[in-house]
Amino acid sequence: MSDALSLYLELGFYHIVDIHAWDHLLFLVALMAPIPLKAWKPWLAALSAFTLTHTAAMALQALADIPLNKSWIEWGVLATLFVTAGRVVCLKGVHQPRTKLWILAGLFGFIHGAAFWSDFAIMVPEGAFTWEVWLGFTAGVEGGQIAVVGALFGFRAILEQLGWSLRDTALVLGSMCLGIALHLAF
Amino acid sequence: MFRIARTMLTLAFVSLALLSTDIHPLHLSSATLVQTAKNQWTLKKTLFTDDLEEAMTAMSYEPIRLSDIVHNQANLHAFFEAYFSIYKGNGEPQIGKSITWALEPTYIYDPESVHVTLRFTAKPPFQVFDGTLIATYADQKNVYSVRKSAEGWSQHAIIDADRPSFTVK
Repeated sequence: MSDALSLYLELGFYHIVDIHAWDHLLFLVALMAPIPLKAWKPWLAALSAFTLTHTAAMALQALADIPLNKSWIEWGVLATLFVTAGRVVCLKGVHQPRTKLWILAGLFGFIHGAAFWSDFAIMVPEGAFTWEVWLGFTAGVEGGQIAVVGALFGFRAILEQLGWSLRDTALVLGSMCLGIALHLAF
Repeated sequence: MFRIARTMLTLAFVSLALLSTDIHPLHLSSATLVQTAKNQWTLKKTLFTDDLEEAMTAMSYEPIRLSDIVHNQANLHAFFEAYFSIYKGNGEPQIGKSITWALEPTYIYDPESVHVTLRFTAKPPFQVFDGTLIATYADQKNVYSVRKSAEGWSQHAIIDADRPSFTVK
């Protein structure tokens, strides 16, 4: 593996697996909270859709340099948290197997990617945007998300052993995410 | 069950006061290290303005606003003197083996980022120690891309709290 690929794989992974990455962690927890582990197709599709559109938004910015209002985009990120966590609370933690979560995740990944572009442009030195940088970072983000979701499912399994139903756990996690998102906004 | 949920919610709201209000703080800098002629190197480094101002303020005990370039050029030089060094070879750094570098007379400022250029003469291998911002932010990462010739990037490296240096081969 080239050192550019491994370096940006590491940066992408720890971009997600980071205690300060509130936007990603809250979004992932709220998105995945009601989904059973066995329903692996919808959650993997949602994670991958988020990763791909997150990268696509950054690539689009790299190519077209679309002027974006930073504060509007940051509000957009917070809106993704409100909608995702609010959905769990409104549905009282019940998993909706027919909902195409990957569409929601893909749309929100685009907003998160647009918000992250200005930081990514500083993360990559001038003139060093190569396919290895894009591939490494994207794979790292996907790996980081799977690690976070794995930890979430592990935590849920412990609560299940203690007698918590998936629905109750999802409702509590969704409420917490909504509360923290409100705090971040105001 | 709702009693548990209510308790958890209360705990969540109480703990909110302890949380950072920044939605995703990112502590990193990036740099290109390019060999422009035989053993002549140019280092161009980009740092987040707010991070650098905070670190320099902590060092000088006075509020630093980097928009005032004339006033802060000397402060920036002192900051790099404290945290940035280059040594010949690839073993343990030794006194007398340090390589002198020169900071470009003015840095480039914008509200988001600051661009700094350093020049030095060195024959590889040499070690780059870059502790800028690491003392201020434990999760700081300084990313480097090295170009030794026109053929493209020859090396990429991260300097952070666990990896204080890298060697240009």
